[in-house]
Amino acid sequence: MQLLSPGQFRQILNQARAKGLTMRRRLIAYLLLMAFALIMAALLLLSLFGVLNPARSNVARVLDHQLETSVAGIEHDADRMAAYALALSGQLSALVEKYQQDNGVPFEALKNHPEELAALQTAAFPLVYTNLQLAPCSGAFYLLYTTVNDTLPDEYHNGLYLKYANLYAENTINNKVCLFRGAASVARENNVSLHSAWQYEIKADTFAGVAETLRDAAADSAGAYLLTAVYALPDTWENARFLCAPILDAEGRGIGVCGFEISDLYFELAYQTVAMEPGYTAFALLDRTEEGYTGQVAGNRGGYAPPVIENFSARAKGEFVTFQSGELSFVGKAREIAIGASRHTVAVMLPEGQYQAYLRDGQRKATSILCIIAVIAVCATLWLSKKYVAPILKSLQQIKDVSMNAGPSRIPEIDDLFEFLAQKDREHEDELRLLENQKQDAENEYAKAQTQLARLVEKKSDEIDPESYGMFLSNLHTLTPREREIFALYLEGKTAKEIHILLGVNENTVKFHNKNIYSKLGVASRKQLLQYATLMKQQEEGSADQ
Amino acid sequence: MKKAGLPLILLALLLPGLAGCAPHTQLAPEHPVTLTIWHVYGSQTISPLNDAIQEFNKTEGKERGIIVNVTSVTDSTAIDEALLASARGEPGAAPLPDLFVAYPRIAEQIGTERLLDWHGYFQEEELELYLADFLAEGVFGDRLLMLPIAKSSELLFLNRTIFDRFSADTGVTVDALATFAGVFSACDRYYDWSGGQTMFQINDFYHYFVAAVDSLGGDFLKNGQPDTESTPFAAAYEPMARAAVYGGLCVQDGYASDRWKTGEIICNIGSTAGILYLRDYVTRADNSTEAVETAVLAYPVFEGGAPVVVQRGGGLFAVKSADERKNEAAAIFAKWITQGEHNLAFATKSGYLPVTDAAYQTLFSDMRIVENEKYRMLYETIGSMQGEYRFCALPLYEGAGRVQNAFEEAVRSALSSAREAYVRRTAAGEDAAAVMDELVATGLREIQNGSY
Repeated sequence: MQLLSPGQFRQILNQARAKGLTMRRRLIAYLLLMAFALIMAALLLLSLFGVLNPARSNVARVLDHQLETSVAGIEHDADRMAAYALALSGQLSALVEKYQQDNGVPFEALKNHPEELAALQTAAFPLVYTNLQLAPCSGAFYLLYTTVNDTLPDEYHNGLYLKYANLYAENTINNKVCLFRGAASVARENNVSLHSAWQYEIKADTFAGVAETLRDAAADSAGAYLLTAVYALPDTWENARFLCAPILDAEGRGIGVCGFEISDLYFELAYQTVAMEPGYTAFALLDRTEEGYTGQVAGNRGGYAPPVIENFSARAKGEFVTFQSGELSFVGKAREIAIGASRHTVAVMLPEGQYQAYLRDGQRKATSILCIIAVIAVCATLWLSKKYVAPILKSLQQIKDVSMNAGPSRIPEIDDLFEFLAQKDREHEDELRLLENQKQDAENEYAKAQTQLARLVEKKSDEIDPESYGMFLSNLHTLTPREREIFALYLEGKTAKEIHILLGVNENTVKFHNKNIYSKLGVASRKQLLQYATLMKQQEEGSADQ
Repeated sequence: MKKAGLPLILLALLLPGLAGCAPHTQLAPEHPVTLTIWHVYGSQTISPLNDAIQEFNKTEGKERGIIVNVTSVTDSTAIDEALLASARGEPGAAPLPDLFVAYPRIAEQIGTERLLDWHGYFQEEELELYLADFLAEGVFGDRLLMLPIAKSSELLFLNRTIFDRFSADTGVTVDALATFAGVFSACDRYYDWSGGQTMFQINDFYHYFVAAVDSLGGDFLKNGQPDTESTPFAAAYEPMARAAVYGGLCVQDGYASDRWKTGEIICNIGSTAGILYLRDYVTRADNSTEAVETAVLAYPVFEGGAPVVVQRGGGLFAVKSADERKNEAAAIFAKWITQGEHNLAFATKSGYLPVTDAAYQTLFSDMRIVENEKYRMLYETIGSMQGEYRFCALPLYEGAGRVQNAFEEAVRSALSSAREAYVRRTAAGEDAAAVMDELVATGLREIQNGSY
């Protein structure tokens, strides 16, 4: 379709201006203008109140709700774990102290004594195993700041680390337990298999910083536990974080750490999110790093779980926070929480793709509604204009057809107009009658004057010599064209002087032609010439009338 | 004719259009469907299947709107137990996963009607890509419920470093391990040499007897139950039991790979995939470690028997879903992981055999594609067994899973009781040979009296 050029459009507009718009088109234009203005005002108000496209506010509401639930859930579980960790810490402290008393050896004397440390592990096994079963976790452990062999190149800590061998659900009641760290003999005694990535002791730098942080935190009993950042478990595909509490000796010195493991898989199983209207929301427990955030993500069904080594960058965007991790992008909400001596960020996140798709859905719906309203407005305008203008057009047609007496139009303005026009008609008829009378009178006068003129001509013709007049008539054709021209001017009443000016000849030439005319027509004077000519004209008109 | 003309013309116009229609799919990348999976490839160590799944999620899955979410990596026994608990709706059990890897024995117990028939999602020519024997294991009646994903066989793994020390002192060579008689004899020698250490472990006694009885010309099953009364069964039992009672053969619970870690055994027969768990070092009681070399040997043969070895490996099952998107997604993932280069790459990183004919041919025509030297040794050993050995699938019968577990438990229980009695009685001064004969016979009777 070829669009009108601005020039063509102006031309059409000018033509419309010049010709004027029909009443209906004018009405359509006004109604459409009004509908457009109303729709725009409604759009403005609806969008201001978020009614027009509620997607954004829906997402915000869902994320707020998820965040509240998630924060409550994580705080509750952390609180439970902390209670069990502190209890385990107390039990292990008592166990070590009792072992020292029973055997008469100080803690430092345990170093490089595999048998004693294995015996301690055997004694501690039920404690760790029981707490593993009780706490909401995927593993339980303790480590003491001592080792079976301090001659090795790396520094190790001795202890037990039990894990569920297979996790299917948050409920771990039927799961087998395996030994991740600890003496193999203890595993045999307790009919527990070794983890496929089993090692005897825990390398001191595996969970860097934890012991140091706990040593500092130990002074404050209320904050004597923390939730670590996420570590990659050596030689496995798992990542995990730990809720840790210090193990103290009788003097309050830190001699080890105990606590619980929360693996990525357990985190995901424990904190399953549900599909809400905007899509699947993911729940994350993040820790601030120099580059941004890192942590654990659960319920990440709409995207792809980013490896924990990757960092999230976070940026506030209006009421949301945008999280970016490699190619992954999320829109979410976040809140900082404290778990013992550590601070973390709880975030609920919706994959950016799903968020945008949800917004587009909302926009499509709004656009569809707008289109439907616009179509209804146009149809209503056309129908209303037709219904409104139809009786007026009908009445105008009646006026054209002079059928005003067809009956009332049921529109007072039209009926008034009809009455007004009828009054005008009556006045025009009166004027017409008067004019016809005047015309009749004029015609009568004219007939009377004609009769008198005929009588006068007849009287005059009686005074004219018929022979001379006859010669006049018979010799008219002998006049030359120039003479006929001058003769005609005489008949029009022009003088000789006027004739020589009109014809552009001198006076003598006119006289010369006069002489010839007089001679040919047999007249002696201009008066006689005009007399004969008038008579001739009247006779010609009289014969023409007859 | 005139009346029939218009419909015919319309039909003729419509048919090409209909034929050209793309297959209808309900999957959409913007609304991905998530499939949970339990599998056995990797256990708690690095999992090659997890890596493959991650690649799928980033490529094909992303394009098609499928996310495969690994919710458990475990062993086949644990998967069986968890699946049964889920299928029965036991308290505390997790919901059934959308996909799982298991042996065919579990299908009947879960209920075959709950499982997806892959036939509905594979063209005939697609199924022809798989090795027919592998595919046949998954057919239940006229339904294909298990799709081969990776297969394994059994081999003998040896801690060559410690064995060489033992060999140097005793003169027992690696060649002796070519037969079970040689292996059991070496067990006794090793026990004496090491001061009471076990040398050898059999991960699955059930597999041992299936292969042994088959090798010796007998039938493992009689009336749908293990025939423990047969002569071949007794012939397979006796040398093995003597080694166990003497102490060189480990009969305790747990996988051989556990004791391999600490050097408590130096030799075992087990799945080719076991190589994933066999470390290149052992850890001592003082936490020091020693690097060791692993040797992969052919499955030992039985004296007077034919070379037979069990073909192992489960397959991929999908739980039928009311959401057709999940069924379709399961089939797309199954095709991706079992076909082409993905299968070969995943299988050779896990110590498994690929399941398509093309991948199988590729692997055994040029083993240089296996980058890891230890793994290449594994495939070279399997290659040397091909043609010589007969690979037999585990028998499938009603209650096979339950019977296998009960049989395994009965053998271990009988042998460990006999071992304890032997230690106790010989320590008390009884005649070792007589006690041995008595306990071996008692052990067999216990196994025969077992309830399967």
